[in-house]
Amino acid sequence: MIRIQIDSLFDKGRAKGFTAQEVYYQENKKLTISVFEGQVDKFTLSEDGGLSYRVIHGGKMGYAYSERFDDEAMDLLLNEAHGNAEVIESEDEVFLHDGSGTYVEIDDFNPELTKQSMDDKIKFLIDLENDLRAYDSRIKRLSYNNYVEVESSKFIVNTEGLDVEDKSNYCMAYAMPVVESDGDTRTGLGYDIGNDFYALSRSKITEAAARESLGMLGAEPISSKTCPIVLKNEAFAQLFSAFMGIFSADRVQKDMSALKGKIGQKIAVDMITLIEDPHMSGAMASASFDAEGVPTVPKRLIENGVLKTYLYNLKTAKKGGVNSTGNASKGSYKGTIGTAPSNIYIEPGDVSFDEMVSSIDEGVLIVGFQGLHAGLDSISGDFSLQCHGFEVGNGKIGKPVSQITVSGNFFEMINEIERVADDLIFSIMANDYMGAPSITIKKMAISGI
Amino acid sequence: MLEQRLVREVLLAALSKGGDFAEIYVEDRFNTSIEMIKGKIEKTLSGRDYGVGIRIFSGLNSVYTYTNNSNPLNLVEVAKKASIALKGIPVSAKINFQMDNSKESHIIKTDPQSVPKNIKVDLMRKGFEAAYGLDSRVNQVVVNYMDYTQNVLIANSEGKFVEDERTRTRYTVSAVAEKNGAMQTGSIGKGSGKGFELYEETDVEMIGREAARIACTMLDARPAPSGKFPVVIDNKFGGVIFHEACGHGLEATSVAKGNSVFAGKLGQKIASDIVTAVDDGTVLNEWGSANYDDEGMPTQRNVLIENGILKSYMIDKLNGRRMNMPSTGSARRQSYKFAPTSRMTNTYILNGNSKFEDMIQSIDKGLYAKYLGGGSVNTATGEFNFAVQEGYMIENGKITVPVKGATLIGTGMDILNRIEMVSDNFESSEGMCGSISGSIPAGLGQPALKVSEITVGGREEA
Repeated sequence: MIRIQIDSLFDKGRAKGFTAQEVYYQENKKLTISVFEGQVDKFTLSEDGGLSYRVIHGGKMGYAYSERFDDEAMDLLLNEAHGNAEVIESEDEVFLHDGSGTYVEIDDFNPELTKQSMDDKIKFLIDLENDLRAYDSRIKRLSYNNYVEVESSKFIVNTEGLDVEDKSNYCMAYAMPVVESDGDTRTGLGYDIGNDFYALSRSKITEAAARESLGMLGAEPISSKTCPIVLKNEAFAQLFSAFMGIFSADRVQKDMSALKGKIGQKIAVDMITLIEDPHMSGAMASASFDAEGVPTVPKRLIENGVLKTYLYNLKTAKKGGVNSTGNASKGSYKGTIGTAPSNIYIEPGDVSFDEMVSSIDEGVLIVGFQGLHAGLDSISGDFSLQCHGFEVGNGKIGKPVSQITVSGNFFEMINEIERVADDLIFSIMANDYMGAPSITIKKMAISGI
Repeated sequence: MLEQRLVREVLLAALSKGGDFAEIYVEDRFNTSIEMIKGKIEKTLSGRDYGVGIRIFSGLNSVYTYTNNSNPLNLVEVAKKASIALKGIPVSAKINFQMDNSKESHIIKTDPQSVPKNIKVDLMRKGFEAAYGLDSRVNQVVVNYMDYTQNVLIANSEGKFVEDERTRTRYTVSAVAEKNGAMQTGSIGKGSGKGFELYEETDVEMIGREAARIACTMLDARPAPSGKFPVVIDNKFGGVIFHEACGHGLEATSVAKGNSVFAGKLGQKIASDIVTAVDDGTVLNEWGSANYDDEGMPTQRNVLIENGILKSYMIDKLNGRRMNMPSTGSARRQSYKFAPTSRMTNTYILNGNSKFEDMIQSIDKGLYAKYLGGGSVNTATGEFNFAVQEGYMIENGKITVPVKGATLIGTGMDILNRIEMVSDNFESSEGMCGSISGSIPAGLGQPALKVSEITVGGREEA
């Protein structure tokens, strides 16, 4: 039905004088179940979709979107896209992709997922709650105990020959226990994610959530000091990912990235190689094409410390005199085109985490950050972040530490990494689906009491 | 937006297989956003959100479903499906709607949608020129403009039938200054629940200059010190301290299940005597105001803390059931894609008696946080953090050099008791607040506060 409307939309657009037009349509089906004290206390079932329309008019790109698809909405799309193109002053050349290039097939849709028993999904959460409460008497309750299942499909079609579509789904269960002991309260998170409900592991979630929450009981701030830091893999992935915007060609071209002019230059220690791989199997951000329908390609952004490329979409690639790297992104049909990585990770090293810790005489192991959206400036690279973790003394992990901050500068930090461990792990808590190994850093400033 | 007859039919379908309460929320919203980079319009986007959310309660349990297919047959079908998910006992319901549209306080004078885009562009250019022209070190300026008008219909099986219109507009300037390859940013904005008339009373050039001034000031800033210090947090966006440190922990969203350090503390002293705080969704045309909340309850002024004593939580209908307390008109949601829950509207610490100058003079060594950035909180533990966008050292009773990279951390309970002085220079500001019912406009505000001791996360050893 939508397809027929698109033909008529394109006809009307041509009549309005648009030289090229594109529709990006996205549809999501979502299920959320929350169990609290043995009962399904929240259950959400939804279906929604939206259409993003962009046109080239007088050499300028105009965008509009709608969640309604009646005739009135089609007129709104035509008029708004027209009006929006008219006020654009940017002189950057814009164009649409013609569908050329090689598309790698990505199979991340499991047709069985939605058919898997609802009762089993509910029972999973009831059992998970019981498992956690039985795990340790200090686990008092769960502040979250949820199952989420999402199916997304999208297609992009334009007047220049592009016609691509994609369907994917995933499911995730997560729990956050609240633990209490001697008046001290802590929380922790455990999750498992995939696209087969029956492959989700309750024990994995229980272990992670219990370990994180119980491990922090009794945590206290330490004295302010500048010392060696061990950054745990997930925490490093989250921190690095918060700075990912610096690789955007758009930011570089607009003087808003410190990586401007640094292609081919050393920006980090030799041990750092940053890889973007949109074709990884079993990864959460795999895709055959980007938000402009351009085929995706694996690439290295940093190789042995040297900056190799920025992330480009069609417009920024044209401006930069290169080809698009297939990194056009769109938050949803409501967004305009930006740039973002797909699956991205830092190559692991060859020392074990334990070996790495054993080399530290006195330092701090950081396992998590809070306020990553607020406590850092990706332009200057400065950060000052609330964090928690453990003291490290004589090569051993000691008492839990909280209510401290760690401060530094990202660009300095990636030049002061001393060791890279072999424990690469991907985090869904990062801005992107990012993976990183644990690292040690020569020194950073810890602020406490 | 939808015929009463259809609304009734959907609500009855929602209760057909069980449940004791059903609600429908219809949203039709028009958005416009424009981005200007270095004086040129780079992006404009406009579009229409439209969808319907249906919620059913059975005791303390709830089902929520949404769709943007408002075909009558589909809506009834969706409602029936949701009802089945509850697995309850069907009840025969009868619904008599009470139309309630009497409360329309937040009058819009100029509908932003009626203003041609080139007028909005001219307004953006003024802010750009003011920022770019301030100092030769300013090398990038981004101006963002947005407005929206959201029409909602909220009806429920208790007979509520409310329609409301919310219009908001916001203008932000971000400047980047550069010196010897080092870059710093400054960002200032103004938003409100007014129409385009906001810009008749707003000096957008001042917003531009202020953003550029912060970026340039921070270029010369040295790293903030580490450790515990007395801190003066200035007015306006300084209110984010209360929002994070305490506000989220007073939302029924976390209180109802005991996941807040403030649960079970009504009537108890939780802050120093000089602290009085309110959450007020009725402030005329404010950023976080509305005639009705997203469950159709009239918004109200809730005194949260009075002279240090906890007086009230912010409560929505579902959590209210668990807490056995009435709604406080605090239910909010980003859109029909989210079930509503209790959220802040405009959250203020009220004026005290101290003078700003006296606060500064009382400190030998400390930090003056002129503008704060964002932050976050873990309501279960009360631990919060927020970033200082523009900060200065206080030395021997005087504001001295600018410092950068300072994040303030602490716990809500602790900081509320350490508020030592409250000044008389209250001003409000605006932010976007993210939580389980999405990202919503939240008003903030306070007079300057002096906190006796707070951990400053800097880089320099003190």
